[in-house]
Amino acid sequence: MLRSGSRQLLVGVLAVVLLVASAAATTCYRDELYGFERRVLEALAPVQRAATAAGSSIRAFWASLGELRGLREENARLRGEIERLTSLIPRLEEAEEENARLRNLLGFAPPSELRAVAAKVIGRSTSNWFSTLEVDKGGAQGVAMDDPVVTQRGLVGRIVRVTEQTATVLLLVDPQSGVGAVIVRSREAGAVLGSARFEQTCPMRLFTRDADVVRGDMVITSGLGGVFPAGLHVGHVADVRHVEQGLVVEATVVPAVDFGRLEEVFILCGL
Amino acid sequence: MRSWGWALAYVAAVWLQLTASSLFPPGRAAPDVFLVAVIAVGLMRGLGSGLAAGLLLGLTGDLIGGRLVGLGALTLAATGILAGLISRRVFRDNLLLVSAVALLLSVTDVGVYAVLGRALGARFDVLRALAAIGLPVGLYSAIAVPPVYALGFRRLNRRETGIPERQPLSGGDAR
Repeated sequence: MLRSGSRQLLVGVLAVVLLVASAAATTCYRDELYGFERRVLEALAPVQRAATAAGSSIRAFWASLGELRGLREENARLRGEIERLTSLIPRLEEAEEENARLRNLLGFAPPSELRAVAAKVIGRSTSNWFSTLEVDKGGAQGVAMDDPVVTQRGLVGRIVRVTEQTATVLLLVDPQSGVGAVIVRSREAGAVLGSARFEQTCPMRLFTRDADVVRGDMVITSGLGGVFPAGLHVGHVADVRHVEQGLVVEATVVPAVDFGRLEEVFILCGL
Repeated sequence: MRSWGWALAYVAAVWLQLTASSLFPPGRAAPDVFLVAVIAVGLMRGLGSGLAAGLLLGLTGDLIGGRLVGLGALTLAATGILAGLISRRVFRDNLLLVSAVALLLSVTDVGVYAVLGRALGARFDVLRALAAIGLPVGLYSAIAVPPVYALGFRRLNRRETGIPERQPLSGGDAR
């Protein structure tokens, strides 16, 4: 028989070993959730929805206080913008027609098998270590692991956890994220990685040593890797530097999407 | 506090954590309500309660997060134990000291999580984590823990220990 002190020590050591083993086994998201995990997430969904609504109200209140002063100027600026954009419509329509014509000539078929499911953001990661969102669509709506998530502005991330009615989106900036991408201007290929430095920008590792990349370059998905379709807007280059004794070119990419303001997203199902 | 009181406090902590997280965009550190609660409970009630609160709230956070499940529980439990040990030396009426202890424990918690997470394979930049997460979370805790501690201790004092208001805190369940 063990004495009380020894028993406590043994229980403590076992608990530590168990927790470390569990953490080691879950450094990445898994394909399948345990039953109790699924139930916890399903049960939390309404609470998350309500908490996020409360948070949004608080944010909106603070924002409206700050914005009151600039509303008149912004109104005038937006009117000017509307006029400018309205004048662009005929040119864009013409470009769209030309685009369709050229696509027909090339025999290009858009990925018609993709289905966009609109989803509402019901929560954000409670941990400061991970950048994820919870959305209100899940397996019941056809959402599956690794489905890309986008907005009109560009790529948001991919699905990493699915329950019947909810799903978790791993954002582009999360340390675990990685996206095959190309520079639109020079067609230089690379990988946009999540930020291990907990920033709102992502490092892009270019595959060639003398890669042609400059500030302001637009970055889109390359389609390599099979998770994301090609051509999704990722962001633009804000900075370029040589790392690892000058052997690797690394660009800092500012994502096209403002992750702090996301309320609705589209999940591209069926890729 | 009765068991329903603890249950209510647990639900409130989860609710507050979810709301606080929704106020901050990714890449900006949000206040860690679970950490605040664990430090306050450890300081108020001692080692055993700090450990229990750390394990429960840490596991809750880990399950919601879905990655490194267990690491949050481990580090928060350790923080609860430390808070419990320190409670022997902290005096209720010295809230500045409580604030400093909260700051120190929070930065330590973040640092330990970053080091262990990295050792387990997560892509964490430890120094950057301390600057980007440790310091802001530490400051939030330094602001939030003293009032929670003061309120909680007053209630605890009245209901359970019977210690007069101006007496220093004795060891709680750590003794």
